Amino acid sequence: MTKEGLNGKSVVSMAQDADPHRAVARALDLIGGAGHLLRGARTVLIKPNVGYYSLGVETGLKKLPEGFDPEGNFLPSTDKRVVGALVRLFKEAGAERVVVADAPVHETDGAWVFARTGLTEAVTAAGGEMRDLALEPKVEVQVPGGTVLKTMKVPKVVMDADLFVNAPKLKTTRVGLLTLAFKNMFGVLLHEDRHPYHRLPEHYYVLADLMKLVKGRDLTVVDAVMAMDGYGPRFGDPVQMDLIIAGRDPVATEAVASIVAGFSPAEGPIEVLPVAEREGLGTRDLAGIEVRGKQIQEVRRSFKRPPMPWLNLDKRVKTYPGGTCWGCGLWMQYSPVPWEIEDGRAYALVTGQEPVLPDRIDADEVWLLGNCAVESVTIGKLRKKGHKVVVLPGCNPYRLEPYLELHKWEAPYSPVCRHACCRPGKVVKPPSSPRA
Amino acid sequence: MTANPSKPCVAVVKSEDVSAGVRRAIEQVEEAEGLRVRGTVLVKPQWDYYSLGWDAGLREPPAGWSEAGGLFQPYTDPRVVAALVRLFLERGAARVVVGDGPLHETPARWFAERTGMDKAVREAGGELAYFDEEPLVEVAVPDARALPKIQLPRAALECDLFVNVPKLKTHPMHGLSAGFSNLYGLLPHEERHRILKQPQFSFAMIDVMKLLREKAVTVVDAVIAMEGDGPRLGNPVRMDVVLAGRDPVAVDTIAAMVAGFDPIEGPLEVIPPARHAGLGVGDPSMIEIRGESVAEVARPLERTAHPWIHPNPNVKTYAGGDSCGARPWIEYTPMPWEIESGKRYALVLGRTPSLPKDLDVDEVWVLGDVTLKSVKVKKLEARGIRVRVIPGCPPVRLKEYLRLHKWEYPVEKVRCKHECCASMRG
Repeated sequence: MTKEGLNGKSVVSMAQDADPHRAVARALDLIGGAGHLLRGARTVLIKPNVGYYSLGVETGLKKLPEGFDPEGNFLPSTDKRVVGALVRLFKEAGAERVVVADAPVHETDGAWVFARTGLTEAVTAAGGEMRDLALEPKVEVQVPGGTVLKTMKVPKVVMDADLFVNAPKLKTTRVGLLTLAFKNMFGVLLHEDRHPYHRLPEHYYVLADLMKLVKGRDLTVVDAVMAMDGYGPRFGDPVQMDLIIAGRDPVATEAVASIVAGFSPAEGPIEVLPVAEREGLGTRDLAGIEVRGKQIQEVRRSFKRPPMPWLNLDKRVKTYPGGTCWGCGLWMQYSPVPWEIEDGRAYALVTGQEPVLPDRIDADEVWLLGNCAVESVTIGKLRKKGHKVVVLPGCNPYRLEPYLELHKWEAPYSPVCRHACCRPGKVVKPPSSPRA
Repeated sequence: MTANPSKPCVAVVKSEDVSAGVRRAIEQVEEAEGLRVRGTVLVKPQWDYYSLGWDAGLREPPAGWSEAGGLFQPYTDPRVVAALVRLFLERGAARVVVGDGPLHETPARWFAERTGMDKAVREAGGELAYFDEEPLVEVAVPDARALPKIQLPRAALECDLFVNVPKLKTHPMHGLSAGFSNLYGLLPHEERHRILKQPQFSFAMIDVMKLLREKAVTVVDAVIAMEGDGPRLGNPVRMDVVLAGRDPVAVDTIAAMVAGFDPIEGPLEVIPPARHAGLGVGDPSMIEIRGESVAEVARPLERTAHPWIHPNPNVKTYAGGDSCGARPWIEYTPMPWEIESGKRYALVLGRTPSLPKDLDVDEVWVLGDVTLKSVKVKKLEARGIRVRVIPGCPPVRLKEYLRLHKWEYPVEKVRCKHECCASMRG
């Protein structure tokens, strides 16, 4: 029952208010109000995006714009005031239980992140329960019409909720360009299952499959109070919008939010939408969407997009790419990481299908990133030429520990990934005296 | 000479009179950075597509677009080309040669005649060079990352000034077609298909630029730019803008901003590695803009829609991890005439896609070498499924593509040496 507007259109509401609680209440009212949205639901699960616990300001990774004082309200995660407002509104409307849950990125301890972001306090004060999805009991389910995911383990609380409130923060990201309703579903995947699904286009099919789990009982509420553009999902800049976007059709809500951020739902980068529409999850055609409250032209911005350099930025590393997807693309700048680069040594980064290497590579070390590269290159030959060869396997590869060290990760994490990417990197050393 | 050699200049000129706009843009470059015109000048426009396909019924002109002269085209505006020819002759060039090698193995001579480009060039006093007829010279690329050895037309290597004249338009693979991507036309047909995958394509264009950088000037034709379904079927955007500069990275950076792209963003993937290769400046704050400001002329171009999904609902897409190599071919695999009503199809692409054990379709189309390595073809066939394999990395379906796009030139035997074109080599 997502098509409730005039002539069977999907309805998306937008409300702007300096007070986040009022903005949330108004956005919900425009689509019927919290009571109507509950439809007698007893358990409500709110899934905010609590991927990253901080902007990295305190560890010197990021500087806030001069004169900008967020008072703790600009974070990479969904605004705690928005989450608090949702809890209150659904409690007041008669929900028995309102659970707020997520499982932060990088196998990080949920309770630590929720406390650090102030979410635990806000949720508890509003009468809700805060849970780490990673620690919740799991059930095995069949994904209805799953394209990539067929049977999977899901936190039981996700399947049990009568109403699933998908509450992403509007921000830019490198895989998928914007994180919204679909990208926020990635947090429902168990930590051990996440790493293999950052390849394009498979990522989008996975996100559509995850959305099928909550189809028909979901509501999307986009937090665009203090959105993030530029170098998202963690290091981007604030875009104060004081805006909440809500709807029962996740595709329509995401399409409207994309346009509000200055993207076109037809363009390549918002690539999940055509897939989601085909999978029957909603409409991305504005002609089939009724926008209530604030209109797109009144609130539209032009977000800076995130950089994606497709090379290792260190001058001592030469990049030799074949054809690759973002699965490897993301890790190019971290292969090798700064402390793996010694002064006076030269490095070659090789990635993708069928990269072209010169007869003589001017490098002491050759780093092979991802399975495509590993299969395209004859490692023995490189070794014979005297190169030290470092193999980073996986499709996609994932360099979790170096990545977290580089980003001065403060939060406790416990790696549980079962995928080839998280087996220790294999180093193929050169013979003691190189044969020319 | 440059006043501040670390700060390159890009001229941004808006003018309804095309010839005057080109002149002012070049004059700005001359003033800021100097431009020594002597000997042979090679003007390399973008001769990729000979038509918009409106005449063949592939697209309709957008509502409200009326322009009698047929001036909106996918290729570089002949008025820009003619103005450059006149200008360089006036500046003392012994010869101004105009040439390119069109897409899809279509002869340059045919292209120039079909588009009237030959007449425009000759009338302006220029000569024509057809790169597919030119002798090729093999050159080694210093510090190559994608093309260690390149065969280039002698005209490109021997000219004294290389004038790269792309048309500003949107493109599904690299976001925007500008200076770097225009170098693709210099490559012989034999070598082209293999590098149509990102990020290798960007690195290949950088390798070509390394050979021409010292004598290059870029002039971007944004007189009537193209947005949306570029590089052929997009819509016109009248901008009346010409950009020019000696630093190819700086020119593409500013052109991107004029088109509403952020130079650091993903789609303009050539800029970070081009900066890294030392080919120029990609930081807008380090570029001197002469003429109009970017804000005055900027017009955000609608980007190319490029879904990772087959347009026919009877074709179910199963995708693993894939480069942009197979991506353009998704919508052509299978082609409309390869789809029978009542039959169900699966399109499989990318590395290790997840196929259901009980895949219930009549035909499976396996797109690209990476996919072929991941799929057990015999097992599928044993279950009575017909399997169609489209090989290659990338899997270019040239013959089918040309048929769908009602290509006027009858391409029969091809020069492409890549496995994607095995069936067309004859």
